[in-house]
Amino acid sequence: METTTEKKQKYGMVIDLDKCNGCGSCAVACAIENNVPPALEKMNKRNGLTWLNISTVSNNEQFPKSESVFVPMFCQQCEKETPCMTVCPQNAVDVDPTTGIVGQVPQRCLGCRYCMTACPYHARYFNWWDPEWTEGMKQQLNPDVAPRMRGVVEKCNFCHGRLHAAKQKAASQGNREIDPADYIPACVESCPNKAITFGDLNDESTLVAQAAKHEHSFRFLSRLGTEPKVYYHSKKQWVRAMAEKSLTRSHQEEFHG
Amino acid sequence: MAKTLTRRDILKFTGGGILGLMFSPLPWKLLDDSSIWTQNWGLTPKLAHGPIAEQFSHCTLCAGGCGIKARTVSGMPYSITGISGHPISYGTVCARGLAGHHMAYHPLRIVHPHMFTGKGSDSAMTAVSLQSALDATAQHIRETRGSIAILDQQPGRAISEIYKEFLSTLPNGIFLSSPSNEDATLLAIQAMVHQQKSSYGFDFENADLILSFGAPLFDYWGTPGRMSALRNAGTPKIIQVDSRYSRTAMQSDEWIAIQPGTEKYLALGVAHLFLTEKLIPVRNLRSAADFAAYGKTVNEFIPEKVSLLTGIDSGRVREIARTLASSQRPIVVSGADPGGGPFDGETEKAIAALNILLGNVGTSGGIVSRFDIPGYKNSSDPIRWSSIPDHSIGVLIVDGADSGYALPWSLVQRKLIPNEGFIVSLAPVLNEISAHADYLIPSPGHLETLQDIPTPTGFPAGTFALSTPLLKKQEGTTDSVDVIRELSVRLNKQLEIPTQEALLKQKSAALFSQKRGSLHIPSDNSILPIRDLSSADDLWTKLTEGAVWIDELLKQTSVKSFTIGLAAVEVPNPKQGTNELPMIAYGWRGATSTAQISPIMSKVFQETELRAVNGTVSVNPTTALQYGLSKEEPADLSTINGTMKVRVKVDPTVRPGVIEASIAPLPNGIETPKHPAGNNILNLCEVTNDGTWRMTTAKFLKV
Repeated sequence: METTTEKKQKYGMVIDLDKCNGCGSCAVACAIENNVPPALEKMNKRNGLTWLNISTVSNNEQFPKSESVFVPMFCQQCEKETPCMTVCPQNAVDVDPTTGIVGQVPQRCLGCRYCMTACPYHARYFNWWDPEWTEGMKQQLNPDVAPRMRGVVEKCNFCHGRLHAAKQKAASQGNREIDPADYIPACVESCPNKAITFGDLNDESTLVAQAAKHEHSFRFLSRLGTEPKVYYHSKKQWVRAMAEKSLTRSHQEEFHG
Repeated sequence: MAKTLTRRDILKFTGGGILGLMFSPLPWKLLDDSSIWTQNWGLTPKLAHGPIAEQFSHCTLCAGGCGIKARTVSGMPYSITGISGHPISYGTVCARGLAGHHMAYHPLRIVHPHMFTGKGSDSAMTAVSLQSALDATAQHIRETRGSIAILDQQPGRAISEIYKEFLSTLPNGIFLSSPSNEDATLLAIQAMVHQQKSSYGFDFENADLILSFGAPLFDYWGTPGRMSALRNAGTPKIIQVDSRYSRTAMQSDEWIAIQPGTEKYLALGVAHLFLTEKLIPVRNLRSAADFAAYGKTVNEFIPEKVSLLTGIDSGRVREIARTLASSQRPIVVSGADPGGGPFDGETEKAIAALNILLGNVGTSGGIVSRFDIPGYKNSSDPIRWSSIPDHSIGVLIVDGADSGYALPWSLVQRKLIPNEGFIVSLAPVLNEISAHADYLIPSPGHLETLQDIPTPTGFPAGTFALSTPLLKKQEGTTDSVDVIRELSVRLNKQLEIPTQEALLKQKSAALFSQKRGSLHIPSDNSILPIRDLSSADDLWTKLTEGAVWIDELLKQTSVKSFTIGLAAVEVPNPKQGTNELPMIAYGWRGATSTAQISPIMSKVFQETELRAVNGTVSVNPTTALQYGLSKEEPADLSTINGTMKVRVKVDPTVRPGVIEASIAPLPNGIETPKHPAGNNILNLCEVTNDGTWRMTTAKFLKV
């Protein structure tokens, strides 16, 4: 019999692709918040560490009818049969039942990269090299997030440092629940176009829950049945249609080979 | 009989041992422990401990002056975000600003005066004393036969006035302003009006239509937060005339793709329709003193001719003119591209003149004049690169502030006296211009010293804010105001130059004495009228705590009298049968090859391809096919300035027959000796006599 009365949340996001202008603020804010290091000279888009990656996807029409959108892609926080969790031999991936957030425990990860293979969204990154910051930048690391060394897989965790800080604040005030205003991931906070809505998908009164149910909202590869908690939104039909294609076979990639 | 040990026994023992080991916990425990150890060993960075706090300040990385909130641990900033409710930046900071606290520890940060000797691969940097750097500068100022210029890329600050005062004591002093050119339309209108000069801004919030000629409105133009707020509000409607499928073209309500370099013909064609179809009130036409000459200029630009020149359907040209004329409060704006630079003067005039014909200068929802900021001298017309004769500058002092817009070294070089031109850079980091200097006297870096923030481009009211230091000033750096004071002493000039803090306190006191406008207080997101403050010290304290002052809006009076000053516009004959293509340069404000960016910006340039790195050119698939270009493959690109190996990106959003060249930081986000400025595609751009480099003729040599 369940004895706890703790409310179960399901944190999720809705990203309005029509508002995203690919400015990159979310990617930079994410890296700073989570102590993701800058690239070494030998790093590139194949071996870089981008918890939040932004792809450009084209409608494959010819000029001047050609259009493109920017698609921020990161851990989609799969709710069911979470592929990375089911394959991890080290229990380094877990899904928090109270928040729905898929977490990654670097101290348990042995770097086998099964989870990277299993992830349908290519949203996990292997840390090939030890991080390098200049001496001064080391003093500027976020004190709430432990830096990872080489040999482990990393990914978005909806800024767990901010969630913990919000929980601490709530506890210090004698509250069981956090104030939603205290828990906003860095990408959401930094987006100049307010393209990302974040919150509890279980709470029907939240903007994110309402936006997720909008007819123009969709999830990538929903046919896999993993129930991702990151939704996308676009009025453009061709954008919604690409959601069921594999990202590596998107229009853009097909075009460029 | 003793049993002998055979090879078979050894194999059996080894095999059994391995099998047994596999069933024991030892290898798994070792694996587990090693994975834990690798995340906890001695080289793992140690995180700072101490009290967490919030501090407010303003960003100085470009002229946008966004409000910033820093989270600090033991006083050291580790995260920067916008300030909610900030009246200038609307809670937003750009990607470069988010990582602004890294700039103090940039790998190319310079914290001691240096002397540069030699050229190219023989060049060397030697640390020198501040005294010897100042002595050498003063000596060159005394002995030069050319002019002495100070290049200020963020004019309008208190230090700008000190520069002007210092230069006024020299026989050939030039205050050279090389700002962003985002305000090109406003400056063109300022030059056209007959009445007393005034500062102008765009009243976008009350407009119902913006016709933008290539202004990167949704890519960090002005203050990025203001434009984002307008976009989210859904008004005004924005029509973007752009030769590229830029981010603004993508986000605007309508994109009109135009042949590069033909923007002025569209502007003249629209003006032609205004006049011939009587789309605008007659009184607006009479406002221009040289209306007859202007009418003659636009006369030949009938829609069919404009269509041929611009590639825009003639019916669409008519539609644009009618849409503009039927709008209640339209604004026509042009602007420089951060990488491609400004339009030529003729184009700026042709575009700005549309505002005059629409009668929106000095009207709400149009181009509005604003009060001068108390304490600041009303600046005279800025001197731009185009006004300076080639090979005329003997000594050039380059202020450390950055406009966020590219500045080709070749443009600077052609203004210097060959083999004599002496450059002193006050930049806090090594960048493309400072790397060519003779001496570098580094100023304190971003967020290391007290600075004032000028009113952002296009803002309808004057503003004043301070960038309060969040970081300790590095020893060996010198405030620009102190450099000028020391130089004036060495040159025996009788100037009383205060310290930076005293200078800014004077400005704050002048603001208080006027009792005009109000303060935004960031800590509680409140507005406080200046008249409610008890003293000038009270205002100063609040400003140093991150408050921003906003002036009252000036009551507008429609401006009726102008001289457009646009002579006959020639249409060049197109070149036939060559394999040359127009190359248009483009960039991203604050992240061109001229400025430095935080290494963490690799998330945008290197580890993703969200923004193309320098040396990348994009072409349409049909162009690629025609010239035998393959995606991601290198090709040799040649212009009048030389040949460079470029990486080709095939992109269907690029106009066929056009090359788009990315002016961006060099690979890995940092300019290092391994990636010298010679590989910079900006150097391939042809700088014309009027100081523009927006379009260059280029051809692919071989693939």
